[in-house]
Amino acid sequence: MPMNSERRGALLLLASLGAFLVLLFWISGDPFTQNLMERLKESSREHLLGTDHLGRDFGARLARGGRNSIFLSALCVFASGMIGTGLALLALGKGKKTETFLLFLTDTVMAFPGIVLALVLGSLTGGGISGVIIALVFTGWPQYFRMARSLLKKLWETPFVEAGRLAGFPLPVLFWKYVIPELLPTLGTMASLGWGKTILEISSLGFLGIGLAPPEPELGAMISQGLTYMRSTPRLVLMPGILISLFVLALLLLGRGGTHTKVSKEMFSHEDPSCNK
Amino acid sequence: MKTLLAINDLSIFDEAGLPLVRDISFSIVEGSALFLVGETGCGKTLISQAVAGTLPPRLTPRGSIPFRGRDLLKMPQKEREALWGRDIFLLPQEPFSALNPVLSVHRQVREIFSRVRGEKKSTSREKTHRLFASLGISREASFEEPRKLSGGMAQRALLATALASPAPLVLLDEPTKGLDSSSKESILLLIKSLLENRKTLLCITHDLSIPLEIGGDTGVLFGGLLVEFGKSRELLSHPSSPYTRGLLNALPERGLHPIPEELIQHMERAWNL
Amino acid sequence: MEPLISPQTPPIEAVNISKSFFRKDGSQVVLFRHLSLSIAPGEILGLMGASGQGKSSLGNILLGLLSPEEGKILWQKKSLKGLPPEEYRCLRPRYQKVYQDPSASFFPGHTLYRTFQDFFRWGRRPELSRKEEWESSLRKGMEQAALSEKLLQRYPWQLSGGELQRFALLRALLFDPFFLVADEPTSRLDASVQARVARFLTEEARKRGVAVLFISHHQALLEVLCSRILQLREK
Repeated sequence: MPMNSERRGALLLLASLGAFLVLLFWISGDPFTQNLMERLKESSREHLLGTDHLGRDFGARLARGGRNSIFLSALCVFASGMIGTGLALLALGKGKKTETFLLFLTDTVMAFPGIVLALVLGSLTGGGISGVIIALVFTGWPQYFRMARSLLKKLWETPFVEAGRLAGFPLPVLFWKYVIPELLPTLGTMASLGWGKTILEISSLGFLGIGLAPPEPELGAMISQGLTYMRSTPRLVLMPGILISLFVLALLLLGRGGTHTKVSKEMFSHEDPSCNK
Repeated sequence: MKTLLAINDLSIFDEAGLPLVRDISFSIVEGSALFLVGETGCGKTLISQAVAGTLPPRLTPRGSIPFRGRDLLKMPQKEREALWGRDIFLLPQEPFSALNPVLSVHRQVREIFSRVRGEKKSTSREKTHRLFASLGISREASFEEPRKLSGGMAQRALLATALASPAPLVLLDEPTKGLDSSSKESILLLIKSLLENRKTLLCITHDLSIPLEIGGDTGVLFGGLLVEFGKSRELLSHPSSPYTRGLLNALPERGLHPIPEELIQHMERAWNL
Repeated sequence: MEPLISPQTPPIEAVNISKSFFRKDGSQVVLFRHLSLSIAPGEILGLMGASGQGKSSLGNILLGLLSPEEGKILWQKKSLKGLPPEEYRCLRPRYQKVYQDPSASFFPGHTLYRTFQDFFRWGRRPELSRKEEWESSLRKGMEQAALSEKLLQRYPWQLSGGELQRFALLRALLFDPFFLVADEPTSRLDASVQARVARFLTEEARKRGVAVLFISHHQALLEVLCSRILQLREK
């Protein structure tokens, strides 16, 4: 992965957050055990970050909630990316009719706003996480399709790809060797940015009560639950909020750093090899 | 016959101290054209960059480049950049990369009159119209953005910017690279127009047909050294250096003969490369 | 499966082909109409015309990358349109192209050696897919092209335009093609390099009996290299 200072910073931040979560996992107790005698207790030996309003270990809930956010959003982004790219490859390989159909499909789907669809699906399916994932993936893949398609169109005309076609390369091999490596940097950057965005979307939905069902912790839901106790125990709201913000910031920087390095790579890749003379 | 620009003992070194260009000396007479010809890696681009002030910072130039009473190499970078558009006009390879894509070509030329030359807005507008008319660009076309113009029109618009600019020295970088014969024709016309308007030209090219057609002076470069220098037509019809002869014979019109390896090796040995 | 070729069979023919394209404003530009041509093995046919007049499109149609609106293309006297997939797969690598931009002809992330390796592994030349065979074939070609061994370990951006074009030509020739489209292969090269590459291309083609369509805007160049020149003109 091409490096620059922004990316280094982002990776450092991500690594720290990851380490923090792992640490929490190790030292904290069970995120589910309730103990109504120990409600809203401050930091103690037993519970390093105190307890929440139901007496559960807050540190453990943060760790698990953080993990859930990361994994769920990663799943959504990965699925969107795979579907979008796969359909773009299909549009290329299968000819005009497929392409027109897919373009039409994309335009239709792009008209749906993700969170609204999630709300609708959520209410229809009883507010569960599967509705959220389906909604986010369904509205997420078009942007990958469009980007992949525009890159593919340009790439397909490139001499080294055409030379492969002329030589008789089977299509999948051509895609794998020459097309996908050229797509990855841009799509990877999109995915990075999309990951952060999806974390926000999942947290927002969780805040509204749609998504992972309790007692499974989710950072957005935790914020919502903690609001009632904001006065006495602000950490219940602040800590999940800060965790979300830091994750999104790190992923944003990772994605942005990608843009910068890609540009510089382009600039220097066309430098005349004998420019020195 | 005033000299506008001189290159005195110009050498350019890379970070390791190796010379990329060695002891180049020549001068350009006001109102004339000078062509630096040679193949990739001969140093002609570096010399042009040294004059323009766009030499990459990792390279070190030595020598002097007197221009309008000042040594360009001794000027701080900011001052050199101030020369662009006013004293030295840079014409890159693609016309479309030199024109501002978001402004109409009329506006671009008019602003040269008003901002660079300091003329009044009304005078600038008038002069712009007249200039475009003389180049065969209609009023409607002149109000378009460069991308809406055909290739040939864009080139003439570019010529208009060069003509409007007060800069006496125009630097051309490989103006015919990759162009077909009809586009080449228009480049040759552009060069002739610039000369007719008393501009002084420094043109780097690997295409010998340009100096053959235009005239002026030609310097042949190889391995960072000036192998031959003289009046274009004389040099190219009776070259003294076998390398120049080799370059000429490689032209399709002269038989498309590749330069023999032995000649290259002989050149490298003779000049200690 | 080796098709039977008699010395008289023209490897490539176009019969009455027409092609036009539609501009953004809907107007139709006719590139050529009812064009027929045929090229004999070892013959160099020049194709001339100003930019954007369909030279590349004609090359692509002959190579089967683009379909003409009317007419047909014959490979080894067989119509390309109705060709059974097995035969097409067999003939496909024998119809090759060399491109104008040498730096775009090779995948930038692989060394030259890796690219050749991939082309022999996946391109359809079964008798050359064994490593020793294609390596020796490649080395012989490099010798004739005056390309040094160590260049194989380099990446495309480390080689000069002339070197890359010679490699691109070798890559095309190593499939033992019947027909080669040379699409302005020298217009980005310096004059002396152009002379070298153009001569190498045409000499090898004549030696091996490859039919060549040499596309260029430079008339003098075509006059030196080609036996016949086809000129596309705007109607």
